Amino acid sequence: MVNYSQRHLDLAFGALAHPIRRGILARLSKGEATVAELARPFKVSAPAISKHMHILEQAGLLSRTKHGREHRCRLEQKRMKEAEAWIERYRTFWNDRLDALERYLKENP
Amino acid sequence: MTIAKPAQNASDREIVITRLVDAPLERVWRAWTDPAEIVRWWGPHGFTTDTNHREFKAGGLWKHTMIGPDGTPYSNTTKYEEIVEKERIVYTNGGGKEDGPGVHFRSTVTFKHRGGKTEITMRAVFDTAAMREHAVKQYGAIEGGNQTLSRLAALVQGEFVISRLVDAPRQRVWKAWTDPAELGRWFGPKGFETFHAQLDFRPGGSYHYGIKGNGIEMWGKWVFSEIEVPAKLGFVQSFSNKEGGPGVHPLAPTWPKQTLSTILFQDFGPKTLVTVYWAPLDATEAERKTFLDGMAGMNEGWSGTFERFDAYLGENS
Repeated sequence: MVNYSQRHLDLAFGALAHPIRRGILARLSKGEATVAELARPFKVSAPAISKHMHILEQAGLLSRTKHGREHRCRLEQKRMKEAEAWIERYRTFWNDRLDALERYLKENP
Repeated sequence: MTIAKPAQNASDREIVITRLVDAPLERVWRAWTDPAEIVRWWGPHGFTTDTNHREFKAGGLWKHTMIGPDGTPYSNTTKYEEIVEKERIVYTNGGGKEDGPGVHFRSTVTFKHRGGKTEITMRAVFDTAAMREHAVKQYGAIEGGNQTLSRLAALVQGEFVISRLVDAPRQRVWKAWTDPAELGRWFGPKGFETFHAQLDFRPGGSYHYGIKGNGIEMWGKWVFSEIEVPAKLGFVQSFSNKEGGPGVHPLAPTWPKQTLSTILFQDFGPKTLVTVYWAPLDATEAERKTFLDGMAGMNEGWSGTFERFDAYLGENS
């Protein structure tokens, strides 16, 4: 059956509902970054950034590894894709069905 | 989803259409008066409306272009004659095809509280009986008026509507929807394959299907509530299990357990206009909200979040 977890989806959607957190994820989609690098574009305090990163981590969208004194962060692609797949299915449900109907009728007149 | 029946016509110059809408009067009034809302439901199935100018006050004009399912533009000018807040809107309308004979009428729309619901009556009086006849025969004004109020009802009731002009005759389209050998071949979501399709096509009968793709297996079921060959198909859709019993939504606890889909098939020249109404059924407040949020452009929902996210990624990569 489906291998998504409801709890993870709820957390992922909650995590995505903030512009700073979306910004952090967008940055990470280009590759790993340190906490300081992630914080740089945002005009908020270090504790605030840390709180956002914690929420992303809880949602499974971000993971950290320690390299000496530095934390490196990366995007957890799998969770992100699950959340996207969920929304895509409903957002375009009937539109996609009608596309498929048209294609089918073209191939099977 | 029900299409309203026209009330008895009082004269040979009139068209009267009434509809009871399951939403408070204040909500319905907003759909008529908010410039961003009126264009979302104005016009028959498959029409879109562009506003060029709108001044919602007595004596004000609404210049708009209605674009038909095949792309034909119809320019219209509405002049608001009288506006009584949450009670009545009176307007005159002139319009039609660019090069055709015009259609002129005076319309009175009244709004009445009906125990939490709202009764809307549209009474259009044409200049002459011949003009009414032209509007009915040439533009399908009665059916179009009913469809317009159906779209309005869907908007204020939190339902989803989509129309598509399909390049095939109606009988062919109908067969693709109702023949067990055909339905499973196109209906599954993108990237999914239908591996089980069992169709018992009669009112009260069901379609039980299994789809798989990307390592995911899902079961669903339709129960046909309405079949009108070859014009209308109504079915209650729910998640299911392998045995055909009730299933749960695999992803969202607050997705409506049942939804009602109504598919309408109309001739449009040699093509077919397919219109889908999609509504939560017996839904809780939380389920209705999840449904609304899932619909593109219908609400500030997750879809909006993702669009912004995607746009952000696009700009920043």
